[in-house]
Amino acid sequence: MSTREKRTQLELMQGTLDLLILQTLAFGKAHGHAIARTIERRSDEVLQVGHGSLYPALQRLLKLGLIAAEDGVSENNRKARFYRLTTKGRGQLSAESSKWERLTSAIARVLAPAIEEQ
Amino acid sequence: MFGWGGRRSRLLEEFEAHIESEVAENIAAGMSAEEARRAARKKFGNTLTAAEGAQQVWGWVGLERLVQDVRHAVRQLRRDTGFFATSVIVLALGLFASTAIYAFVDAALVKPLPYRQPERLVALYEHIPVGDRYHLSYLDYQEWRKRNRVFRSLDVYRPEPVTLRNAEGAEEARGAFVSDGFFRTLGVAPSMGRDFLSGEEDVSAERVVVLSYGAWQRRFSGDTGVVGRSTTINGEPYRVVGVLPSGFHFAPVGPAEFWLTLRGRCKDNFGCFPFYGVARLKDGVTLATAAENLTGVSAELALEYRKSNRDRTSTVLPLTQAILGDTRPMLIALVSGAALLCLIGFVNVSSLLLVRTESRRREIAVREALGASRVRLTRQFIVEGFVLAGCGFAVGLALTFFSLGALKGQIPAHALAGMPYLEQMEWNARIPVFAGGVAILGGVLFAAAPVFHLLLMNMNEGLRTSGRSSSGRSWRRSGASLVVVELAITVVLLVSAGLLAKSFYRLLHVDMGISTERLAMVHVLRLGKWDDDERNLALEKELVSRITRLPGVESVSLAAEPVVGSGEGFVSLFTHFRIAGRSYVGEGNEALDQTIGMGYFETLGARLVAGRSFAATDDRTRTRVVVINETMAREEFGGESPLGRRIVSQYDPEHPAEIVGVVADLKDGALDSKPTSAVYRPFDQSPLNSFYVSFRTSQAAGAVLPSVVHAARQVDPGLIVNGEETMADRISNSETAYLHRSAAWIVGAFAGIALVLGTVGLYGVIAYSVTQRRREIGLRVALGAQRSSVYRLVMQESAWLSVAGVAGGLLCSLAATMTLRGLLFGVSRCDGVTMLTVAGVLLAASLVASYLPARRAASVDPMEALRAE
Repeated sequence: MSTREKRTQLELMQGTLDLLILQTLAFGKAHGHAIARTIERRSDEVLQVGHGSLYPALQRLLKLGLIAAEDGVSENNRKARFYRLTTKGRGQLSAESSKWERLTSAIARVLAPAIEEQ
Repeated sequence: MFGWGGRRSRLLEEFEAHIESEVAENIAAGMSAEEARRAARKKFGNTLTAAEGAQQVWGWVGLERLVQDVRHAVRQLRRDTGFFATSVIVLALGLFASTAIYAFVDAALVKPLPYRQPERLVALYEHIPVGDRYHLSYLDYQEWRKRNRVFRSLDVYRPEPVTLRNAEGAEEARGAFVSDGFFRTLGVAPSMGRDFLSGEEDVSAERVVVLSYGAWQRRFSGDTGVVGRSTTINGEPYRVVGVLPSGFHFAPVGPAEFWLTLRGRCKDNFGCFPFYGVARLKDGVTLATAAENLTGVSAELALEYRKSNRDRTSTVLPLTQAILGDTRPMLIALVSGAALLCLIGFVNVSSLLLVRTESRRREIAVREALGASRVRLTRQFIVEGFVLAGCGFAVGLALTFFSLGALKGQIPAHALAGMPYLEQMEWNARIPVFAGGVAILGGVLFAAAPVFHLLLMNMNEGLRTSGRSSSGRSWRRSGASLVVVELAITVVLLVSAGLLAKSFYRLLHVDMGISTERLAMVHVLRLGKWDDDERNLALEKELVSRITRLPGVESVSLAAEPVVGSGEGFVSLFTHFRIAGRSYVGEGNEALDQTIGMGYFETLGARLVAGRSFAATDDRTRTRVVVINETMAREEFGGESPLGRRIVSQYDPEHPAEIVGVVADLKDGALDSKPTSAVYRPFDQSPLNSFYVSFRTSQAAGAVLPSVVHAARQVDPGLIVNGEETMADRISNSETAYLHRSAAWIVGAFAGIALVLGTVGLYGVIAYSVTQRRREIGLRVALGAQRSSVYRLVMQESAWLSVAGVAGGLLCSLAATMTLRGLLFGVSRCDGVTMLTVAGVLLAASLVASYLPARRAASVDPMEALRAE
């Protein structure tokens, strides 16, 4: 991993990861590794999901009942644990993503003039 | 347990699957199988840490880890039984010492008085020029009660023995005279029968008595029909009206059995000061307000009753303070001593723990390298510390629980009489709470020592080296500072013990103005009219002549009050006298009033400084004569000779007394009392029906005592003869001596244990350091170092530590001995001899402690030491 690459990568904020996991699972069930890979790929490798935060986040979502877990078999024929969105999780996803959009657009609006001034 | 374990293994399984997927992906990207696996593992990181992080979400992990840690700690401790047993014993003993002492403090200071709202009760005294805790007159009692605006109620009491008839004739028993509202003021109700009624303190009222629980049990065999029965006290019939509850005690009157009302005693006698006051403050009134109000009242009285109350004001003290006054400094000293000892024990165990941490250096480094976080490692040490403290707590508390009764039994009866609240000392909920607090403190200390050490340690270094060469330094730093603390505390304890022992010695050898060997005394009381002078004189003559004739008796005399008394007996002071030819000066003209028989000074070995003692011719037909003591001579006459001067008592102005002699001060009060002016009058001129016969013997006084008692009873079977005691016993049994002796012994024992622990601690540090430097020493010897220089090397290290400890300890003891002020007698807080002795003892002990390791170091075989790498 080169230095340049490292600089463009971002660590996710607490809470944001929860939203991304929910979004990833919106397309169907997935195991931990697949979730991490999906997030990394879809963000063009900018977002890195540390394992130290992925699994605690999954446990947290399980505890809140936003996702459910079941045993299954992975693509390389190994026993794996698959996660899927619950109805509650789906509701939470739409609520959180609209909240996120409002937040980012608001932040963008605030930052915009400052950028023009430069 | 299954839930936690299950979740954990499921997570680990899931991680493995995750890593497998990553491996598959890496292989697909063109890596070799081995490379792919390594990259995947590296990317995932520590699976155990990740599992913990994920588990933490579910809570309970804290508890799970705690259980794990405790198990681990127990395993660790079990592996090292020697260490475990040593530390638990040290801890348990420290805890036991402080908890046992706490039990006494609890009984004496936490809930000493079995009355309603005892904190609202105050003790009242007259403040006169001689001192601030003197008796009240009947007038004071009446007027203070009437005029004050701060007390809800005000009552008086007076300890006084009563006489009872028994099978052999008569005996004396402890009694108290009180005003009729006394028990209501304390807030105590009899458990049987009734309290005194209002008005029962008048002369005209019926004679009624309230019994103590003990008297009811012993003298009336616990008869439930005792209320209403009649009994004879002081030769008069009294009706029993009530029995006090079993837990009741009132220390100022001792274990009084019979409670009588004062029945107008000293009502119109302004020169009679028999009482002490006790009052309950009105709600919202502070002690200061009460004192101010009562001072105002006594100032009014001093103006209105100039003859009796001039220069008399008042003292108001919380009752608790009045009762516990003497014991409080001793208890504080004992508690501080126990706390220091406990601290030394803790420090000792901490330094043992440090050695263990040091030897576990590699284990720690490995665990950290394997991913255990610092927090987790720290927790491990904290848990170990607390497990240790917990074991010490359990053993120490059990020791306290089972020995409390035995400890109580150690208090002699005469001491219990003065401190009845100690009778209530028993197991209660506060004791384990206190012990728990101490144990927690210990736990914190045990956890802190290795944790700080851990923080100082460089982990990587721990892994690389075998922990031999560099580790010594960091350990030596922490371990050495602990030993310095330990030695400093030992010095504080030794200094305290030294000071207490010295003041006890001084107390026993205080100049009592008499020679105490082969001296004994017995109290004699003739019943009947007390002022029947003819019979009193006849009794004296008969007694003295009979006892003189006994074999082994050298000389006999008598006095109204015993020497080395409590001072309590001096009811009427020789007050408000003036020197003939001078006007009343107002200050300092009060003196103890003692009546003595012929040859009293000679029998006691008192030293006559000037003039003469009494002669047979000094009887009632002649001029009144007195002998005064040196203090009085100095205070009243300064440099002039008092001989031939006359003193006039304002209550008996027709009989001025001529001063015929001056005697060196005698200890008429307690051992530690200050010299007070005293006037001695001849028995022949003021005979009494109650007196103490003193006699000097040619052999051991105790052997002659029974025959003297027998002889006295033969004179008249109706006499009360009691209180027989040798002077040596009297001195060593006196409350003052008891307090000083116990304090000196207990703190001395603490100091002894501390010295052993401190020396062993120092030995441990030096011995460990020698082990650590074995190679260095071997090298030095190999290069030609002399044995003597090896000795010097080791002993120097120890000398530095001891000097630092002694210096620190001496500085600390300057502050610490502040708490001892109340207990020191005739010794300064900064007694140079004591300090030097302590420093010498400690340095000698440390020399011994370092000699053994030094010898071992000097005998190191260089070849072996170097090869042992």
